Amino acid sequence: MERSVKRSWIQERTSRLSLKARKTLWGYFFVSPWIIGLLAFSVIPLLCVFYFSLTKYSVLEPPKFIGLANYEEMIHDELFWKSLYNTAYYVFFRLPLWLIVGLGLAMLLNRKERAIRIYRTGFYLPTIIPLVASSMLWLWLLNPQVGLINLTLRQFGIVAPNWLHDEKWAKMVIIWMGVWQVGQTMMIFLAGLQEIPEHLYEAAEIDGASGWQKLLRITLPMMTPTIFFNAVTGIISAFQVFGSAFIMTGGGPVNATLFFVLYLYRRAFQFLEMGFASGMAVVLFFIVLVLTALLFRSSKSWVHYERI
Amino acid sequence: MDRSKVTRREFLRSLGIAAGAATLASCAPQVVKETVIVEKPVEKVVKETVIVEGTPQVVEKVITVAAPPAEPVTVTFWHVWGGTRTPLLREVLDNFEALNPGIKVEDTVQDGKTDTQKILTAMAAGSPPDLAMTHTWDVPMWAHKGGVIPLDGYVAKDGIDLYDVFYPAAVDGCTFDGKLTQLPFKLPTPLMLFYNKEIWAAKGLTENDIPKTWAELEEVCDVLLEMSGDVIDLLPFDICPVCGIGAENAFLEFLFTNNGYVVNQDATKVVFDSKEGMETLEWMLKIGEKFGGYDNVQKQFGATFAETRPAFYAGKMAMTMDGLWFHSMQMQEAPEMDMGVFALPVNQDNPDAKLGWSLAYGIPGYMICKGAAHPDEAWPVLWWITGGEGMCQFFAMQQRVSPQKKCNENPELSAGSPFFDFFMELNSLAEGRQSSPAFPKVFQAMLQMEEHALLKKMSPAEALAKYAAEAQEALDKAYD
Repeated sequence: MERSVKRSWIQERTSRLSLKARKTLWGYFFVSPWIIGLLAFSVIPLLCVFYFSLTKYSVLEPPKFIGLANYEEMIHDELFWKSLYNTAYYVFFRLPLWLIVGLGLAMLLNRKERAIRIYRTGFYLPTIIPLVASSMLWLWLLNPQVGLINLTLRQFGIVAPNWLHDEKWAKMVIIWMGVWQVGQTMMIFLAGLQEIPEHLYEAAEIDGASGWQKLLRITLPMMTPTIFFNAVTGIISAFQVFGSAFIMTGGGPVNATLFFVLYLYRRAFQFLEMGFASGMAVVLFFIVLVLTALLFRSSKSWVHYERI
Repeated sequence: MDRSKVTRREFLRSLGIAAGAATLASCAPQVVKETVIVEKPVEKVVKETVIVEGTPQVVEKVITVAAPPAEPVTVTFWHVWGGTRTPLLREVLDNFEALNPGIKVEDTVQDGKTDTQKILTAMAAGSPPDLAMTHTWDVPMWAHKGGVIPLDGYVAKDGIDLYDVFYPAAVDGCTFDGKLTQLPFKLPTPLMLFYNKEIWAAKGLTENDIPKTWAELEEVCDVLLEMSGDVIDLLPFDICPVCGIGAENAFLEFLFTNNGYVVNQDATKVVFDSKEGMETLEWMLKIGEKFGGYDNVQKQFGATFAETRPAFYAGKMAMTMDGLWFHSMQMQEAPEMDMGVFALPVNQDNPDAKLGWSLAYGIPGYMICKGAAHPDEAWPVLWWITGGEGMCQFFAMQQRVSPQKKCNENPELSAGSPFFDFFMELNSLAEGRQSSPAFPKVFQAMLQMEEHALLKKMSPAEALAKYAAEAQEALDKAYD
C-alpha cells in the first residue's frame, strides 16, 4: 500500500533544490536575526552616512543634495586638518604605549603567586570605570592649585604646568589617561601568554638562553597573533577618541585637543551641519579602513600563527 | 500511527485556529458600557514655598479643584536642573498638577553637555519632548530651521502682555524673526567680581576702594598681588576664567564694559573687531602681564570656573570673576567665607561705557518642540514655570533673581540674600537682542580669537582680523 505524504509549502518549493542548497538556506534562516541586526544597525546607517555626506542636512529640515561641496569645504577647513593631525598624533603615541604597557603588565601578572588575582583585578579596575567618572576624577587630580599631582610636585619645588590647559601637555595627558585604562588589552595579552607552551621555555633554559633572549625568541613571536589583534582594535578605538577631550578640555587649549570625532560632534550637534559631519565620518571610515588593510597586509611578514 | 501523540501538522493547525480566533476576537465590535462621570470637586494639598524672615520655608495648603478626567495628558519635559534643584522643580510641577488635574508632567533631567544632541536625535526620530530647556544661542538656529513651535498664538489667546510680566531684555532675547520662540528661565546678568573681604581687609582695602574703572582695578590688583618670581602666591583675579570654553566669556564681558558689541543691531555684521574690541583685548593682555602673563595665570590657577573656584575658596585668589549663580554655590561650598561683589569696572577712556550694562544675544529658556505630541497641554506648563507662580516658587527656593518682575517684588527675597538688590540692579540694566542662527559659530570664532591673542599665538590685531573674518563668513551664510 502506498502512503501519500502531504508536503508543506516550504517543502514543495525547496524540493527542487539540492541538499546542499537546502542546508545553506536553513543556515541563513537561523542567522537571519543577526543579519537583520547588521543591516538595520550597521549597513543601512553606513549607506545613509554616505548619502548625507553629499547633502546639506540639519536634521530639522529634509536633506538637500549638494554633491561634493562638503568635501571641498573640508579641504579648505583649517580645523579639519588640525583635528586630523591631533588624532594622528594621539594614535601614533597611544598605540605603541598601549601595546607595550599592556604586554608588560601581562608579563608581570603571568605568574603563579599568592594574591596575583588581586593585582590582576587592581590593574583591570580602571577599565570598568565609566568615562565620565574617570574624566571628573582626572580633572580633580590635575587641578593646578589643589590637584594631588601638582600639590605633590610643589612639595619638591616644582611648579608643574596646568596639564590640561597647556598646549604642550594636554594631548599627552589624554594619551596617558587612555593608557591608564589598558586593563582589557592586558587581559587579552595575559590569555595569549598563558597559551605559550611551557616546554619552549624549558628547552631554552636548558640551552642557556637569557631572559632577554627568551623574550625575543619565544614570547614575542608566539604573541604576534595577540599583538596583531590588539593593534587592529587599538587603531580602530584610538581614531575614535572623543569622550575625555569633550569632558575635560572642550578641544582646547588653542585646539590642541580638538580631535577628529570631537570636531565632527561640534559640526553635527552645535552647528547642525549633519551633512558636513557625515562627510567627516566617511573620511574617518576610509582612513581606518586603509590603515587596517595595511596592517593586515603586513601581518604576513611578522605574525606567526604556527603552534608547536 | 499512535493517536495519543500530537503530530506537527495537528499542532500547527491548532495554533492557526487559535491565532485566527484571537484576530477575530480583537476585530469584533466591543460592547461599550456607558459610564456617566459626575465631576465632583476634590480637595488637594499643595506645597508652597514662602519666605519667612529671609529664609525659604515650605508650607502646605489645601485647595479645591475639579475632579480629574479619566485620562490625564502627560507632558514630557526635558531640562538640566540637576542636583539639589531636581526635587525643587518637581515640587513646582506637582503644584501645577494639583491645580491642573488633566495634565501630568513627566520631567527628565538631562546632562547639560549632551541635552541638545538628545533633543535633536529625538526630533529626528519623531518623538521629541513636548517641552525642552534651551541653551542661549541654540534657539535662533533651531527656529530658523523650523524646529520650534512659535508661542505668539498661545500668548494672544491668553491675552498676555509679555512686557508686563517679564523684563524687556528677557522678551527681546526670546524672539526670532519677529516670532516668540521660547520663554525665558533666567535673565543673563553680566559676570561680576566677587571678592574675599578678609584678604581685602588684610591689604588695607575697604568697600570704598571698589574699582569702577579699568585703571582703578589695576591699582587694586597692584595692592593685592603677591608674587615671587613667576610663582603667584596671591592672584588678584583670573583675567579670563573661561577663555576658550563655555557660554560665559570674559572678553565678551569686558567688551561690554567698553561699550562694545559682538555683532551689529540686526546681527548681519561682526563688530567685535572694532576699536572697542581692540582696546579691550589689549587691556586684558596688559593686566595679565602684571601676573606674568595670561599663560602663567592659566598654568597656576586654571582656565575654567571649576578650576579657579577652589583657589578662591582657599584664599589664593583675592577676587574671582563669576556669575550671579556663584553666590548660592559659595553658600554651599564655602559658607564661612565673607564675600562681597561688585560690577566689572568700565573703561575710563570711553565716555559711553556704562557700569553694570550688558547685552544678551539670546536668552536661555524653554521651548515647545516641533513635533511635540501635546503642544497645547505643554503651553500651560510652560507658562507656569516662566510667567506664572511656578517661576516665583522655583526661584524663591534658590533665592535667585527671576526674569519675571513679580517674583522679584517679594521683600523677603532681598532680606535673605545680601546681594539680591545688587543682582536686581544688574538685571534691570541688561538689554536683550535676538541673535543670529549663526551665533554659535560667531561665538566659537570669538573664543578662538581671545585664546590665540591671550596665549600670544597671534598679536591682538592678527587675531581680531582673522577670527572676525571667520565669524563674518558664518554670518553671511546664516540664512542659506
